[in-house]
Amino acid sequence: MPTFSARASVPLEEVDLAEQLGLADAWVTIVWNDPVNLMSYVTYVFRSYFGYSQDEAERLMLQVHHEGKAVVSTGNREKMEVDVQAMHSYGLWATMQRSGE
Amino acid sequence: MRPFQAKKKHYVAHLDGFEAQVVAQLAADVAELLGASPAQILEALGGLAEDDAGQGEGASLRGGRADDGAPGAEDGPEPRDPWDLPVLGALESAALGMDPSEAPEAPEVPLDPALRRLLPSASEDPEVAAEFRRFTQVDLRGLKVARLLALVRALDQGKEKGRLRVPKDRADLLAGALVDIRLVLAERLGLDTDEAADALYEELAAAEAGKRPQSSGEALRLHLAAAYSALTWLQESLVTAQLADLDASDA
Repeated sequence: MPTFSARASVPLEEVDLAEQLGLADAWVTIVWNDPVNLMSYVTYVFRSYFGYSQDEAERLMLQVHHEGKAVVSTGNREKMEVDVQAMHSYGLWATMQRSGE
Repeated sequence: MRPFQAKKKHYVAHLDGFEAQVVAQLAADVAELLGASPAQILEALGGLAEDDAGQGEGASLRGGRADDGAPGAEDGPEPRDPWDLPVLGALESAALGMDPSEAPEAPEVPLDPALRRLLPSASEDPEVAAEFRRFTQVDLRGLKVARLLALVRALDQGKEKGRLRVPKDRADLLAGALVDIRLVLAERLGLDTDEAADALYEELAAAEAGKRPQSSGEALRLHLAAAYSALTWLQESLVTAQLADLDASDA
């Protein structure tokens, strides 16, 4: 996995606050609802890729299904790139963004 | 068509000659959409393309609830497992004739909405999305092409016995290939909401009840819808078996 060097610029005061909170590079991976992927398949992906329990995987799947999206993982940007790419390879629709955006 | 069942080391489904050829052709079409070369596709299609498929008696792509439970003994290892794909990096350069070490330009967002669904944007921020495409798209395309062509080869290899077989530890490749075909069919069928997807089954039920298509467009749509429905059913049986094995390994 290549590392990305560019970083979106954010206002200074936000950086300070984020750093104080230890969230300097906190990103999230979001999976979006789609009408094609089966509920069972989405649950399977959450279990087998992220290692979530059946209950947790099902809870997240239902959140995607009913609310249109769910945060499925958090971490630094590099880690989220890996997760988003994995979701795309499974055929799920996923995006990444800075945590709290 | 009979659903996937877990054997000792494989998941196995049964498709007759007509069904296998339709699925192989769909897989080849999606591989082509992703940029596979005609030579690669013909090579994978090989035997299936030459065969006359018409042997299945009134073969229907309709999934239906097959009364199943075919014992289907597990055979010994075959010469070369089509699912035995080389590691990604090398694979993708072989698959697409690209050198991944050459720093690529950020690829354009695909114009075809079906391709856009196979290679989606990774962020609402265009800069983040472009950078992501630049570093991941070649790999992702390569993986998707490789597993679609593996599906084509697996169907070819299993045609004598009318079966589709995948090693359990490679089943995600097959599942992903099935999803990609269904994503493209869904895009062509305009299934952009859960409601539209549900309505498709009503269309199919109406056709089954004897409603004749009123135009060639409608007839074509019904064919795509039947393929989508059959692949969905096949995928459900595969993931059910995969989840059962996850349960067993957790226990």
